[in-house]
Amino acid sequence: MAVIETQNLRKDYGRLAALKGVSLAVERGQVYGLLGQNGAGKTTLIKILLGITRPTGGGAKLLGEPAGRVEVRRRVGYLPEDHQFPGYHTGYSLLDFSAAMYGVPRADRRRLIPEMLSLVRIASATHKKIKGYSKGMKQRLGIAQAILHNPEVIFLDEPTDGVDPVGRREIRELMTRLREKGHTVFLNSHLLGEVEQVCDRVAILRDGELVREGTVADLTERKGRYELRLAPGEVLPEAGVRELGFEVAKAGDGWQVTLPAGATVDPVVRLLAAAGLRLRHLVERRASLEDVFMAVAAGEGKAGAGR
Amino acid sequence: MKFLTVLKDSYREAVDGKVFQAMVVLAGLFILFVASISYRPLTLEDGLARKFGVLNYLLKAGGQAGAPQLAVENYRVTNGAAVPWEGDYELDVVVTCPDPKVLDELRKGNSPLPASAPAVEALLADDYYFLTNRTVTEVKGGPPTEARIRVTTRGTTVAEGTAWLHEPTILFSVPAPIFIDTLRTSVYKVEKYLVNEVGSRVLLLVGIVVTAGFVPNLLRKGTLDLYVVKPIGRSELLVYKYVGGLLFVFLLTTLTVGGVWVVIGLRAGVWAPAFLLLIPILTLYFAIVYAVSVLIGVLTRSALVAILLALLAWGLLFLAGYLNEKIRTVRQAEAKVRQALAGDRPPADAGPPPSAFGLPPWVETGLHGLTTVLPRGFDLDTQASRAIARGVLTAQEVEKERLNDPLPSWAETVGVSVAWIALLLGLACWRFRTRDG
Repeated sequence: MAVIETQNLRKDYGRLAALKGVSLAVERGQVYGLLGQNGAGKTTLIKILLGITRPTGGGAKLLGEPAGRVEVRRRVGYLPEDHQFPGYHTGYSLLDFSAAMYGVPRADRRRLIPEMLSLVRIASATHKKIKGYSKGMKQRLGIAQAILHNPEVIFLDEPTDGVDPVGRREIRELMTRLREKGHTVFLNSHLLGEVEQVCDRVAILRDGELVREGTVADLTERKGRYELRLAPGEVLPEAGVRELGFEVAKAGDGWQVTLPAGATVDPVVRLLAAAGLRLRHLVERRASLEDVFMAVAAGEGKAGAGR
Repeated sequence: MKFLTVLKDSYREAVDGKVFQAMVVLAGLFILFVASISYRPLTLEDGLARKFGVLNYLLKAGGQAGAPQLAVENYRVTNGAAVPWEGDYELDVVVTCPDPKVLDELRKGNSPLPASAPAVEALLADDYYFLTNRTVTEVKGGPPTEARIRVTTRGTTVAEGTAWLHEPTILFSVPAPIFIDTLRTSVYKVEKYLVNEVGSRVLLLVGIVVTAGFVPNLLRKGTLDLYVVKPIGRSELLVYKYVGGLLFVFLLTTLTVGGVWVVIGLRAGVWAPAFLLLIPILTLYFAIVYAVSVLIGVLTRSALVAILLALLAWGLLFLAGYLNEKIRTVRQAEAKVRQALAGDRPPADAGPPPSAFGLPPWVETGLHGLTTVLPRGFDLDTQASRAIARGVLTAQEVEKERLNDPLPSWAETVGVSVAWIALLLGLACWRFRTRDG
């Protein structure tokens, strides 16, 4: 059963359509990445799911309930983008306030808060006012307040924003641990490499429309494109390969062979064997998530899963 | 639990700005200032000497050569009373003048200077009417430059010390003879003018400034999401924030009014519980203005605009109430005059009364309508003054101060005010609930 589900979700700000009928589903225990350029509608989607913003049309469900209900919010954690924690709080008091609002008993808060501050590595600033925190520390604190009450679904909007590389790695590991414990993580991020490493499924929004959705493997797969290299000094018979109906191009110290629709690479392998050439490297080439994203940004994407 | 959590959050916000601490210190200093005022019962000798001192100064300042001078001599409390209002007295009022002819003229004429027995009696009748069984006789045989009038009294009409003249001392050591009055009148003035008219306004002003930021800060971009994503309704959150601000002022008011009540009780021995009514009255007054501030805060997200419009609302409420009260007073006086002129005759149809202060009739009607439907800030002010007066003054004194005129009932004053608060908060909640983000 999907823990997050939207159906033809629309949101208009005046004449500007921020979401144009987005439908997606996130299963329990997934780390789900939402990608898109600035203004694509990522934060709007999260805000609708959390009841911060009202949809113009369509439906959104969270944990099986209409999104935004108070009872549902109790089971959800959220790290907003560009958050501004009240400067009068210390790290401890902010977590105490947040957890108390979620109904965590005082005794549990006393036990959990130091643990959580240690987990996100800001224990040394426990009783320091937040206005004295660096951006990275605030981000770590934000993550702590989002997960302290042990929510079933955690929305993280740009969680590594302002965090150094070591911190980013720690946050990635944290997300992986959360997935292992059965939490569902909904991640908004500009850092494509990060999403690629940690997310089970990814959706890409462009101008309020869902243009790609699927597993990372689905999105980055490029069927029918192979890289091959031969033993040193040997040369690919490009003309023979072309006669078989394949496209060939030199790529570095090897070649890139593109298959026609419905064909396999086997005829090329047989041709090389017949010519006595020694194959050293043959691998189907995958696109990076960045390639996919850039292609979508350039307007190449089409809506639908795994495309 | 959520209520307490939000309340604690508001407390942190108020404390972080150091304004709360500053207000507590200010309230402490205010209480200390009131505590520095002591009230010394004035003996008859002191009272006369103060009066004669002023007269002597004025006579000398008149520049007349050989001006007469007044003094009190041979002062005695003949019954050895421990407190002045239980004393029997004997004293001489002495007028000396270098020129016997001038003195003779003073004795014969209708001079207000107490150079003769009738003049001294007139003085006592005016200022010391509470001294009973007075005998005033001129002592003969003195030098020609001196008039000596002997006064003896037996008993007073003063039953208790609060009705006796007292001289206040401020800042623990500075006498303030210009404020000499009966003890209860002095206490009434401190409570009415110093506490209710100055202290309470400063407190409300600071309360408005400190709490005006609560809602705009909550609505700040980047902060709002952190609050509204919590499992709490937006209206609930806003009302809790409102109550937090209200509690802040309630605590400050309780500290200030309670502290003043205690120090006045300790210093003057006047324990008037009615004075403590200022706590709920001021809190309700603030609740009205703060509801305006919250609504403006939700609409504009600006603490500055919230402060300015809340102050404007406060000023308009006061002005409307004040003008309406003035017109009402004029109308009452007119009615009394007409009644006196008409005597037992049936009232003639003189047409509509002329407009008060030359204002067009619609202004008077409009003001009356406004003060009827608007929150009752001015009525609360008046109720506070009356509570203070009733706690300290006698029934006659309350009558003399014209504090017995009819007022709208408490139920009406509180009811209309609370209805306005509910309306303003309702609007604020509706806007907060329906806004995106």
